[in-house]
Amino acid sequence: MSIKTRTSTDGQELTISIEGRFDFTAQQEFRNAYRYNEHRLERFRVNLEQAEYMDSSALGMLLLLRDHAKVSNSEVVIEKPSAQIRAILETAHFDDLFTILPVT
Amino acid sequence: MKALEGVLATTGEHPPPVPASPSRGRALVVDDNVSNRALLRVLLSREGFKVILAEDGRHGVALFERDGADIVFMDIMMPGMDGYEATTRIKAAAGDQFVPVIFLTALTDQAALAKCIEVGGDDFLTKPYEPAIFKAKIIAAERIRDLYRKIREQHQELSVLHNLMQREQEIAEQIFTAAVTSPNVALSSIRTLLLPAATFNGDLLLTARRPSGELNVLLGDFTGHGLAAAVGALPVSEVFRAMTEKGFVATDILKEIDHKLTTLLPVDMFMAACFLTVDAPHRSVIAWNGGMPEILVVNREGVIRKRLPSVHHPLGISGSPHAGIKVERLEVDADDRILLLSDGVTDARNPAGEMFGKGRLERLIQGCDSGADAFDTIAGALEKFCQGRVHDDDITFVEIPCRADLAVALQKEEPSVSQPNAENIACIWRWSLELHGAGLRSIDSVPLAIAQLQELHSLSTHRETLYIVLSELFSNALDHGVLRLNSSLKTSEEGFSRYYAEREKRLAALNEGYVRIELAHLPQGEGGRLTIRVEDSGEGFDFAAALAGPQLALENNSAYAGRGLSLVSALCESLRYQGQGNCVEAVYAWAETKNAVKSSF
Repeated sequence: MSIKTRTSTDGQELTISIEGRFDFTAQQEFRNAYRYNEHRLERFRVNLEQAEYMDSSALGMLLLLRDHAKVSNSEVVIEKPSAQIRAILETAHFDDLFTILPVT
Repeated sequence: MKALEGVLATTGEHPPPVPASPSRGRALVVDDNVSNRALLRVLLSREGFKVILAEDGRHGVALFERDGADIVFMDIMMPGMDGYEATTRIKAAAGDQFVPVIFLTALTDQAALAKCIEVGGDDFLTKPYEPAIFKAKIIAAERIRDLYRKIREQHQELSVLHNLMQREQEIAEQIFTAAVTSPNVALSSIRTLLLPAATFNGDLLLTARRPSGELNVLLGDFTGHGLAAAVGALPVSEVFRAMTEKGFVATDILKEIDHKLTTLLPVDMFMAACFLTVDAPHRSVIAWNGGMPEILVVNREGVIRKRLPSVHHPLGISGSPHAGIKVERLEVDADDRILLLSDGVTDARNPAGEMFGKGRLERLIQGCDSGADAFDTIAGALEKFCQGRVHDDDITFVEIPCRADLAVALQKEEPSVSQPNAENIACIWRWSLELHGAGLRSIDSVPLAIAQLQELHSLSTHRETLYIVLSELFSNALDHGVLRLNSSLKTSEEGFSRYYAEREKRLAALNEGYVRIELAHLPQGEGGRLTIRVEDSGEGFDFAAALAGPQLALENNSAYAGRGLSLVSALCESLRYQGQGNCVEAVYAWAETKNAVKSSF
């Protein structure tokens, strides 16, 4: 598992990309990925294109990010989940809580 | 030798006084040569060691075994026991403590020096040697020794903590089991496979019986597993049991659990859950799934008749945009079984890392026609598949049969613990509740009335009967009186769902009408008489015909579709309609010493 972050050129978006198993071992690293931005961001993008698996702790981490984003009224977008991860997100009805792209 | 002679020259003939408190510990010198011993004594004392001298290997081992040492300097060639053997023995005596042994020798051939390390020595220095090198070797050996000591101390601390934690977990687990899972009912009918990943199970199975006999089942799966996941189970089981006992419906219980968990749990923790209310005698099941794998209804042939996927996010997530928790009502057959499972089942992995998977599970279910037992087959296949691999997640698999005797089995299984209370009996009181329009939609009045009764009397076994009487009379008043629904709809299976759909629609739009419940109690003999009066704003009905009819309906075993009046009238001493049929009065008599008023029940 590895987590990479990238800020868009206009400084408005932070993309957090997860590679490998997205599970409880990612806790600290995932939190650190979004916590220390200095100014308000328009949008947080969680890119799951390279993620292979997701457990309920990872769902919990997304809720923490959602809480963090709420304070600055920023949007959270979950991008490119695999079919398997999309099924996990849909079972938990996280499509009610987050924007998941691409829309199916 | 030259270098050491130099040392002696600077210190004179007499060794300097040994420092009062040698700070570097005890150094054991094992050498058969008297001048070597004297030399090392001087050198080491000046370095701050308390020096102990041994004349040969055997003596050295004896001193070490008796008093120990912090560092050992060893000659090789000695009469009796040589340095190699003495080192082996000293290392053995030191056990898991690290005591560095440094060989000091005149031998220079490589094999002899290599043997120093082979037998357990940590370093060697060939004579003659420079004092600076000698001191540096000692410091290096001490550094390694201190590192060993530190690790050993930490290891000991850790194992003490680990044992303490283990013990505390075991105690907490006992309390947890007693508080959360031991009040479960119907465990002889329901089959369960529970394989927790840690001492504490993050999966939670709760069962309790409603006052009217239906079985409530909740299967929850908390984020993560172990102690952190299990603490949330306490408030959930409390709410589940208290509200089930008072007769609250599934949606109310789920909303309360959601509220409680949202308040109590940290943001990243939540509970996915399935909830069932199984009314086996009426072949009706109310089901809800929030974030769990599909609930499966399987018939006798092993065909998956119905799937109930997750319709909501898990409970305990703050700021949920959908406050509405909607349950599904479904018809079941007596041979049907309902399967509940946590994602630990499908996500279970074998040593090769392959998942058990949904496909494999469903092939197993479908492979089990009438003869075979799906539960045993799946439990067995799962165990075989995992090949003893430690589970990453808690695994729970539950099978609930829809046999009509489920309710009966329950009654037999749990003898009621009633405690006659003389003070309770002799009181006169009156209580009433009137709900208008929207109030009828949002307030569940029957549990309120039951709670009120319970405050005043120890109802014990009467509670269930009174619950049935009150529910029947209240739902007649609401459904037929206020909402003007026609009960004849309920006679067909399709009409049954149409009835409830229509009821929901009318209830949502309701803004007028009322239902009034009045309870009045009079003491009588050993017990008392409770008069239950229910009045509604409806047009009433031809009660003379209805009261004659239901007896027939009861005999046809389809009383459910009627107004349930035959049941109520069988349970009460008397049942009378008044006015134009919009007001009904039932009298229920109880005696504290008897279990039920009418033996026919």
